[in-house]
Amino acid sequence: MNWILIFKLAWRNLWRNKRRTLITAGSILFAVILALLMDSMNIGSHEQIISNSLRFGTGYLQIQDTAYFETPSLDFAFDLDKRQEEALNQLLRHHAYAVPRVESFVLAAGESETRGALVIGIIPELENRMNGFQNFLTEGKILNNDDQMVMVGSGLAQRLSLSLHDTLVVIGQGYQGMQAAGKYPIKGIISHPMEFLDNQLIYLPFEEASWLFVMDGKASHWLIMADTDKSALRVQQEIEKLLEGTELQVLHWKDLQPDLVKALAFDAVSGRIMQFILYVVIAFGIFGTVLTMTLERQKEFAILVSLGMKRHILALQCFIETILISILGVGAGIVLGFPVLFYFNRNPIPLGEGLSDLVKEYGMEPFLPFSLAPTVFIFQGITMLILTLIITTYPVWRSLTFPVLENLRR
Amino acid sequence: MPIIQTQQLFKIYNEDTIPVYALRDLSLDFEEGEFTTIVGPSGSGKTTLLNMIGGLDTPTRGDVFIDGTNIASLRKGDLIDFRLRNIGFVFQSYNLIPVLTALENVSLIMELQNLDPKSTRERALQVLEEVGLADKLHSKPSELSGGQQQRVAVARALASRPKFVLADEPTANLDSKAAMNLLDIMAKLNEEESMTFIFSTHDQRVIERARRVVTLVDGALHEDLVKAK
Ligand SMILES: Nc1ncnc2c1ncn2[C@@H]1O[C@H](COP(=O)(O)OP(=O)(O)O)[C@@H](O)[C@H]1O
Ligand SMILES: [Mg+2]
Repeated sequence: MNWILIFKLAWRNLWRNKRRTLITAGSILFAVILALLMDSMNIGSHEQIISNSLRFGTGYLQIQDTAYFETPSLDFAFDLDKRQEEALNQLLRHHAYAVPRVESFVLAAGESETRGALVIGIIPELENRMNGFQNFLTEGKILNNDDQMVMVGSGLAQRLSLSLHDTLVVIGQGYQGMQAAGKYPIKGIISHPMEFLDNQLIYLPFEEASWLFVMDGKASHWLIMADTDKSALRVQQEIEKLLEGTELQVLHWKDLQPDLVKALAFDAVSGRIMQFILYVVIAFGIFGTVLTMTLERQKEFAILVSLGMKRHILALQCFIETILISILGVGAGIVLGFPVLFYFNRNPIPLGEGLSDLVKEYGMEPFLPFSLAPTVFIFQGITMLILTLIITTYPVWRSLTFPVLENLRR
Repeated sequence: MPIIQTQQLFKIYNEDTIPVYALRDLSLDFEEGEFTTIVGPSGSGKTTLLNMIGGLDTPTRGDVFIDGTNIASLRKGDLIDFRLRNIGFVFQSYNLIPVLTALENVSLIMELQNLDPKSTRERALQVLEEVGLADKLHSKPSELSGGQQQRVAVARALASRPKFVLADEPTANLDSKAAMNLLDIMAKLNEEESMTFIFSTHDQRVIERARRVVTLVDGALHEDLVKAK
């Protein structure tokens, strides 16, 4: 088989009608860029939602008592013994770190008002490593480990009419039904990006929280932060081994937030449907071009076969022509689309006032984030390739079956 | 042994309704080196006969032997390959590949045969020289006159040294000067390369140049005239 000849014929045929080929490749190009933008925005916002919910919420993994997930009560708080803690640290080392937490709902009161609030016992340094909460400090200072003070969300402060250095009273239930009550000066106020947290958040140093809830150093759960989901999954397996035979279990964030996973999957599907519609429109455009390219050359096909070109070589030539158009369009789309995505990735589009409040309430930052994940590009490439392959069946089938004599007589 | 042999060849269209006899009991032999024309009025079966010999069409009855091979015995793909290796075609409307230059058109058959590029190029240059187009090597068909295109087509047909060249009314689209020029070239190649040519025509001046004239009427052999040298 003479590949040089086949490619030469295919390539030249492409440029027989320059305008038509350019328009077709151009439509693929725009579709790819559009699809890239849609996909990048979609995946970007998912990445952001997941990242936020991991950093401010569940962590990648959680070690908890097996009953805690069903009943998140302090009664299921636990201690890691020395051996377990060492093994854990040994295992995490580079890719991940563990953060003990005490979390419990309390009643928080100021001078005149009372509200439900969430106390989170934190190790400030680790908390900052995890979610950079220091950046949201608007007044006052960050907690130290041995402080007997609190940091509160600006929303909560406002609701309780409290300001910096005022005293906050918390009343709740401690370990095994014991009374938990404390009085703390406000050391700092943070403006938390997730509004529902900002309205109820009280940070205490871990030690102090453990004392408040009479837990004697126990944690309600441990968060594990990893650098990627992949390393988290690997770490999870190892921790599972470590916890074998104990009352403890390690859960992945997808187990911890099934609703989030479902919502994201639903959103992803609706995004894909939009893209599918876009691609179907484009596919018909390509098909139109390929159809005319095939039908207008029936006589030429007949001549080639009369002269002695085997039909499957002719089919291969047509196949290559179609694939080349698609590669031109997809290649140009990705080459031109990448800098556009890169720009928006670095300079996310800020949302307008109204929209911005709305997304804040859902715990998102008021920007349209764009993802540069390789899957965004790979997906468009593969989709286009599959569509093109489907389209090539027509010229391939035609060159394998067209009647030679009739077309020779044209 | 004749290079082409047809035995009781019939081609009947619409056999079940109103049959049209395009070929009627045609038994003909063609020898190597012939310069033969098939003549006859329009509709007499010239094209049909050439298509049968060229393996482009299948007879209703009868057989075609090329160099001893019954082409009906070949499978479809092998038949295409058989054409590629044995038969040169020249069509009435030139039918060059529009995206290829003269040189590339002439090289096409040899490239399909996977001959080595160097000898392909040498042979293509040689044949284009023989048809008087050494100065048009890199012209596309659209840049050539009808006469020039048909000379490229003749060059393409015989460049790969097939057993014979079939040409269905090769001069029909040419003015008489270009037609005579093409005939001269074909006659010269018949002499110099001892290439067998079988061509159809109804141009009297073309008929005069042939050494054998096979006349068809209504698909049947009317006359088979071999002129003395
Ligand atoms: N596909 C076909 N269907 C029906 N009749 C045909 C077909 N092809 C050719 N014929 C008939 O066969 C006869 C011979 O045609 P053809 O070989 O083209 O003659 P010529 O080339 O001598 O003009 C004509 O009567 C023509 O109408
Ligand atoms: Mg005819």
